[in-house]
Amino acid sequence: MRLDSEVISREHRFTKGLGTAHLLAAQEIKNPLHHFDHLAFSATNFRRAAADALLLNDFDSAQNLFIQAGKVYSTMRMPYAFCMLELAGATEIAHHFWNSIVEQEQASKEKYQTHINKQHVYTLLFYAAEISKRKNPGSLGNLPERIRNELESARPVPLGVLGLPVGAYLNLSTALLESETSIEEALLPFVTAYNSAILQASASLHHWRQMSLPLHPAEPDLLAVLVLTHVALQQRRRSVIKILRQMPLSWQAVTVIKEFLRMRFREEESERHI
Amino acid sequence: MIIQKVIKGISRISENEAIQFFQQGIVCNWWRKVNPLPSHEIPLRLTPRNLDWHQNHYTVADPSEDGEEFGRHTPFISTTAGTVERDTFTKTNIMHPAWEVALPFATENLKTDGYLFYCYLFIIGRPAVPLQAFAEEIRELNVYTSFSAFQPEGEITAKIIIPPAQIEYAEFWRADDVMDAVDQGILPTPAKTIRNNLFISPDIYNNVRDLLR
Repeated sequence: MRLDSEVISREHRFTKGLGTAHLLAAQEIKNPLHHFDHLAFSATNFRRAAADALLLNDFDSAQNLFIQAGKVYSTMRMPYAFCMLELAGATEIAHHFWNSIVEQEQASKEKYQTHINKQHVYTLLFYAAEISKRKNPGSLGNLPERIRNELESARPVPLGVLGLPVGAYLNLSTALLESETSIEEALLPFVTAYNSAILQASASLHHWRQMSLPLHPAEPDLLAVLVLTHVALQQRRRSVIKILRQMPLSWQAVTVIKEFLRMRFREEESERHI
Repeated sequence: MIIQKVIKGISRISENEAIQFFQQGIVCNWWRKVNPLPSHEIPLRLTPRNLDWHQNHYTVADPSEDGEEFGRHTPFISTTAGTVERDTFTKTNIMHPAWEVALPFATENLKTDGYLFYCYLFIIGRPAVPLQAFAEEIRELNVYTSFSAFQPEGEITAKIIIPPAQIEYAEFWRADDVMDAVDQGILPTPAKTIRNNLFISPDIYNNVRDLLR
């Protein structure tokens, strides 16, 4: 992929260490604002280090770092933690966080804390992938519906590194829940955005090789969506890999996605070529 | 108008050269190339096209300059403020303090020693590319229709020169010390800090926006 592995290794070492350093700093700081900042810095760095590990083909390290990132995001009550934990395959931890989110939302006297309002798109995706098909989903009441209704008014708001609107996430969660809705159509904005961004980024060899990009070649936002989609599709005996095969992707995107899915799922269908 | 604190990372300079920046200001690569600067050309170069090239085509051959790599004659100066608003974190899920963004640039991805210059710039809260006095705030991140793969969080682009009076101090960072510290899970710190006697504090003015630290 014409990336400089020495640059990636150095960045991996730097961000992994910073993730730990900021976490320790957060534990020692009493000021709530600075405490939050250090947690945010820690989660961001663990996330980046995990993505670097994917590029270095070290899935064990990536897994551990995504779990650490997920734990820090969950400490901050950010549903984005679901994405990190699903990337690692840490389903048990993710379910534990789900239970705490449900408890908090049901107990809360106000409808939602506005600062995590938009983040609940990730809650909906996790619900669609992991919870909705359970025989005993637990006493959710109408929580998923409430979240969806709340988010409808935020449809145009951009979210995540790729800047996809909240509406794209809502459409995908609907598609994962309802067999009448096309998953291919719902997944297309995510894959297209990532593909365009990768093409733009890799067009500048200088930036690309030096990894001086906010978008990571192994962009966790995109990979998490693919994982959640695949988990949901498995219950219908379908695969996200087959869907991706029909999409016109650049070779750079194919390389990253294929390798990640192979590492993450490590099962027969991940050996099929996309 | 907002007074925004920023950091500029510069690699491979000596302490004497860092002190010279305090006295002469931090100039763009165009000025370094054509010194003395032809002032009448400034408005012709502070254009949206050149700002886009600075951000997205820095190492690309510029046909308007006989194929010279754009970065060698850019009238802009990249700086960073980290993530300026904490609210942005809940939308992007990413937040870095300013020194973490600047340090890889100052050390060529943690390979060499370098300096971080702590400065302030003036921002008027909307695009003002032709106006030298005001920095451009590349903060409209992740708007779907104008996504830039190179648009780092909190980038503030200065123009032509960061004057001496706006440079407060510089930190010297040793790349090896940084890596040793993070390997031990310790936040790295600079090896040395030098202050600028010509600095004029903006604190007596309103609307000073601090760095994310």
